[in-house]
Amino acid sequence: MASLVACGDPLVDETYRGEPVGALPLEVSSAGDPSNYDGLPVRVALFWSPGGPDSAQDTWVEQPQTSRAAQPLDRFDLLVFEVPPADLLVGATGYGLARALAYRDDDGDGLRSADEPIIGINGRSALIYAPEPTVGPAGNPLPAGFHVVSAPVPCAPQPLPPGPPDPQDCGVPLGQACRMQMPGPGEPAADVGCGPGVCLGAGQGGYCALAVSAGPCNPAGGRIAVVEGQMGPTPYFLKACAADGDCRVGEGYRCDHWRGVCLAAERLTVVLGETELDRLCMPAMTGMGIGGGQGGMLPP
Amino acid sequence: MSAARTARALLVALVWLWAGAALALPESTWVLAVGNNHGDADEEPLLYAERDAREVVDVLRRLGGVSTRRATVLVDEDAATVRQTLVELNAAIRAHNARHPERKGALVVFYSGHADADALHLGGTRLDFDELRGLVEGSPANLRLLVVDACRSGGVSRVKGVKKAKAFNIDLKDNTAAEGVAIMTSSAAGESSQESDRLRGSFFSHHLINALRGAADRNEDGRVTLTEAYAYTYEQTLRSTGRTLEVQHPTYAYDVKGRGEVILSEPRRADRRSGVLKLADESTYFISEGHAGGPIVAEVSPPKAGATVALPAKTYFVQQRLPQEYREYQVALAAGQTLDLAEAPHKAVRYDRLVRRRGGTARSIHGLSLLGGGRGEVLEGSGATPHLVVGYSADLHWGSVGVRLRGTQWATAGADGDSPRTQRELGLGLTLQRFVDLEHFSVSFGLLMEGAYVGQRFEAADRQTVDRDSYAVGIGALFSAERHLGGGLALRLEGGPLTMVMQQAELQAGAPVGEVLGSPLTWWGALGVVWRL
Repeated sequence: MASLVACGDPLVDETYRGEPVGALPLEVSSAGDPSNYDGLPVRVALFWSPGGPDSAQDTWVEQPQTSRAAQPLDRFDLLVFEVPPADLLVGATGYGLARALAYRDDDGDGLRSADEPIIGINGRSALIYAPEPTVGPAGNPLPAGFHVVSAPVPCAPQPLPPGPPDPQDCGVPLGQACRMQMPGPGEPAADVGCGPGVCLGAGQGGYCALAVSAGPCNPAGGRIAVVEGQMGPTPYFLKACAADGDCRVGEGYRCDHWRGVCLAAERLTVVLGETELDRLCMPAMTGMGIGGGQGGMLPP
Repeated sequence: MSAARTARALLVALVWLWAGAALALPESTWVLAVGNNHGDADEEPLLYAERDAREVVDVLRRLGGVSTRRATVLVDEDAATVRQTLVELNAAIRAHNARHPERKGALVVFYSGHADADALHLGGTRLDFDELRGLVEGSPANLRLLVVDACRSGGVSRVKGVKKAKAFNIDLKDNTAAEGVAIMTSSAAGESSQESDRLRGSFFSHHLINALRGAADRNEDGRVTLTEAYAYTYEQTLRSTGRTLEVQHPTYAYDVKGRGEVILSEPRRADRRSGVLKLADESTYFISEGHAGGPIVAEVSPPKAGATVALPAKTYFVQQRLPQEYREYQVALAAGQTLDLAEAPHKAVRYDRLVRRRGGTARSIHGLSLLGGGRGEVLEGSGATPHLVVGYSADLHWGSVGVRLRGTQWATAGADGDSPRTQRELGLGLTLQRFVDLEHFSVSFGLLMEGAYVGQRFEAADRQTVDRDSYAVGIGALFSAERHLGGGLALRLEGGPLTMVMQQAELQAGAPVGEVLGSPLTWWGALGVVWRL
């Protein structure tokens, strides 16, 4: 009996929706007391902006069948079973721009009606989808698939920042795993595994970088980008990349295609209680902006 | 069924001579019945020859008007005793004829036992046919009737003065007094004759006795003639032995002239210790003494409806075999009573019920079924699904076993309404049931086991889906109730709990993330018809 049953494919029940074409990491937080949302029919879905950067304002159109019930502190992969239809993409650009928004599904139909308010946004990140390899909104090569990026998104063509002049071996394995060793009393801090560099981020295995201010050495294979640090946005030499494969994808890193550096993969973070959305696209930047539209600093 | 004994060709030599236009057996009729189970030393003893002799005498006394004082039964006697008894009977008849010349006596001699074409075999002694015929033909009786039930009848046609005839009807329409010889054999030359353990007698003798009881009364005049008796006995012997290893073909030869049918019995004028059973439809009846399972006293297949059979006043269990069912009667036949079975209450037993209670002759009854029904949910969200079942079953005495083919197909849109799919199942199952026959219903309980193919096909154009082919095993209880509709058809309702063991995908948010062996418990049910062949 067991041998008979073992032969064959596992059967699916009625909840089977297909094989996902995308799994988007998403987390839900709350600007206020999370208990304010207890019992409310909160759903999170993908909303696309077909107008793109050329539109006077962003108009968000929900992609059906992407919504999912959510509550504060939820972390899950938002599964996408259908690629967005062509009318949700940005004209003839070949890509689409989206955000995850939360709404109150009062009628329980799994779709936002006009009278159902938006009660949460993901303001710090966005989603770019390319059905085929194309050129991204910043003029950079964009592989096919879903890409979670930080927002606002540079939507005007801009060149990748150049690599450092006179690149050298500064003894810092940019992008490699590391760990931060907390100093004892009277001892200086030490970042293990990065040589003279620093270990950014305790999670995801750490990331070796070199502060631009650390000295005159311009590390080969690096590119300057501004990241949030304890002292605020700080320019660092990060590992340069051209594709996700250049980064530690298995540990949650991906290639930021318009900054040209490996960064921790963004999550779609929906904050319940925040409802004011900035424009998805930002003007062209001369520096390296990251998270919140910060400008960057060129190396001396 | 009969037990084949050693080759025993039943020779029934019917030799009768009569002078004058006598019809019924006269009041002064002497009967000698000889029965001997033992023949020559190398012949296997018979079981019922002696009983046959007693039965013939009994029926001639009750229904033929033969006086007890003139009926002699010789059991297990030798040739010398038979010879001497015949001499003494002839002397008695001679003396009677001298006192009553206007109503001369008649002589009926019956023999049952071993013989060959030349002589009777009586416990190691022999009585030649020529001598026997001489004693009978030479009797002073006006009417002489010789019936010999014995082995190896091939040489009977060599008996002097006997011509073989194509037909067995005795047609005596001449206007002269009848005189002559008629010979019947129960089988052709080289054929065996048989005794029946079930009937507790030889086939031929049993049917001859029932003929005399009235089963052969074709014209329903209340009298059984020699012609009627022979015709009935011939047909029934052929039918009975047709179910055995060797068929007996009674043959007939006669040399008769004159007119007048010989009436052997008048069943409607049964004695004060007998009653008359009037049979119903034209079919085969098994009449047992007492209750069901009692000794069979008569297997009767009357030529037409309404035939009568005279029987001793007793209680009887009568089983009438019709094409679709048995009808069972429990009757009490009183002396002098005519009991009409058509008006008697009966119990109809379908053949499948007979098989289950080890009644009847069939060992199994086959049936075909067609049912439609449903099954409860086995995959989350699928709900109850319809199915169609075609089955074959065999009813045996210990239970019923069946095999069935189940098919189903249904389509849904998925839980989100945008994932259309079709699921098909084809199952091959085995059932085992034990029936309990109630008065109006038959109910059963049992087991159902099934192996099934399950196919899932997805038709979402805008999604990536994976079609699935899998196998499942179902095990469940089976409960059913059947109501007989007639003509072998029955309405059937069945169902029970069921568990389906199958490989299932674990899903999260609609996407497969693993596998698990599931065994959901659900229900199943169906309604349809069963046709028992």
